[in-house]
Amino acid sequence: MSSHEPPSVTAAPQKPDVRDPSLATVLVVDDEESFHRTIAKYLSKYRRISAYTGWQAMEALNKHHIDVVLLDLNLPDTTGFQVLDQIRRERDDVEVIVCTAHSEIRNAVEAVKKGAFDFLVKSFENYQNMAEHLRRALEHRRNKRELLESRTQKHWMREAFQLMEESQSETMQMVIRLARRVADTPLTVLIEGESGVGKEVLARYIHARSDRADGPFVTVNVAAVPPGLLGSYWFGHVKGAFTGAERTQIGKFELADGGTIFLDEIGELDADAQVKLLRVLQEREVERLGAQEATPVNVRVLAATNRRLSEEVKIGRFREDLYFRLNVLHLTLPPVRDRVEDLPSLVRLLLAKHAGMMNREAPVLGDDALQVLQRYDWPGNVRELENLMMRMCAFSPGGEIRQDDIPIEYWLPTLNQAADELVQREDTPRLLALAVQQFERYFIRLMIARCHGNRRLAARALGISYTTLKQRLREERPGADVGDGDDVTPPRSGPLKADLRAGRGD
Amino acid sequence: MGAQVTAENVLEKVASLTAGRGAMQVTASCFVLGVAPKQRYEILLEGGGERGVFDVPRGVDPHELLPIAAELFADSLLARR
Repeated sequence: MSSHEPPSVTAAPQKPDVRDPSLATVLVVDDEESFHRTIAKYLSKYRRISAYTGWQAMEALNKHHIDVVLLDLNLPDTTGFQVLDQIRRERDDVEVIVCTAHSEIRNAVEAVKKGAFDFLVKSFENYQNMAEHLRRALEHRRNKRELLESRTQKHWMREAFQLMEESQSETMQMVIRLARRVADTPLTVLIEGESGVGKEVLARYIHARSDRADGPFVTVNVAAVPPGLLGSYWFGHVKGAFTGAERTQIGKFELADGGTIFLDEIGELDADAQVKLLRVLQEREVERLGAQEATPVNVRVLAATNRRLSEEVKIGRFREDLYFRLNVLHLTLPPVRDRVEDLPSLVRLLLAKHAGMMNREAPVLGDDALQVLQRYDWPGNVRELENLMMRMCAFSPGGEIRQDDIPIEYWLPTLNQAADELVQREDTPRLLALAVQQFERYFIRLMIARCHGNRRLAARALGISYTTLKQRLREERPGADVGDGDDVTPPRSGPLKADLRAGRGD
Repeated sequence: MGAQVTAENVLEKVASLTAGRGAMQVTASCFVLGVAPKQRYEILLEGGGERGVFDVPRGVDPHELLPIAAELFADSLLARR
């Protein structure tokens, strides 16, 4: 086989999950075809990609999602150690098992020093135990990833706490002052706010500032649990309590013992579940399904809803006595549109977070783009802002996000305002033509991005000639080189507001 | 059918205070409910047209909690205005 043939793929790797071996992908790097044939028999449970040279191995790592590399030390174009060095430099999410015919101790020491997870000598016995070696490598990788994710999540949560504490919004400051004071009490707190405002973040903040901070924080999304399973989910069950209850399982309230339980979307509770919750709040004890006795629980309850619970009580959908028990302390988080003064710091935090997750440099939001975002009403609140910032990180790594980069749907309030201003003027320009032109620019950019920067393909998809497409791009950015090259360009919405102000109609 | 004697029927107010800031005044009352060993305390908070009930966990001194709960209840009502 030629050393520069592309790596052969035995199966397309899709969403690997190391818990299920059949979804894990192993890259086998060895120049001997016989080894590939032999090892294939022992790796039948895994997705397998074969590479015969160091170059092919790195190509495969860049193209596919690889979980474990089975690496030979003797390769035709480089050494296994060099490949190992490169993998360790570029990827910390891949485990490497060195598998070689050379059993010298110094090779094993060198491989482990360079970051290999394991060192195996090519032998029938090791081939037979290959599944076990891979299982251990995958387990190690999963533990490493979980630790990293947990650290990362904690880091971003701390940043979010700091951002809340430094909020420029008076309403937010008031909420945070109260949250800090209630943290050290055992009182129940009801957090209200629109969807996506950060109710869980506030709940975590209260938990983190409380004397229960070292205890567990258990989140229960009430709406996500089928009503029939709620009893078992909240309170657990004993072995044999019902068909299929093969072992005793503790419920969420017991899991949260010594800590905090956060009941999200509490307004979705049905009548039966409301009675069950009321009893826990009153008695501070839970009864596992099938158990003879109740178990006392020391749990602080925080609840959240995006509904007005007082209204739900009035129409009889929510029990009044339960409402009173949740309504001891009532914190209402303001929506993003009422705290636009916090947008710059929110944007900075979210860009840094997602750029970090994508291993990219965080882009910076330009002042003109910020103005567009500040005029938008953010119905999805911080969650919607986070999704947008994630897109911005993908499209504008390391650069400046300009108003042109903001998708057109976020421009509507800005367009409304510009239209209001224009109606007052006598020399009203062709507003519709401007809006059409604006959409056209956005759509062309969108199609180019969808075609991975291939402008010819984008022109074909749009049903216009390549020359017309280039002409449109030149009109959008006079003087810019729109050349023949294919590049990945983010969709832009175009500086419509500037055009409107200048009264340019075409 | 006999008399409905439940824990709720032996409710007794053991403390009460009024707290608040400016026009926002709240009344906090502490009740004892039930009989040993199931006896427990409940704090009732009222003010500004709102009511809150807190079932005091075992091991927490309800008398110590009462003024704190009243003050925080008043402040949370003020924050929502």
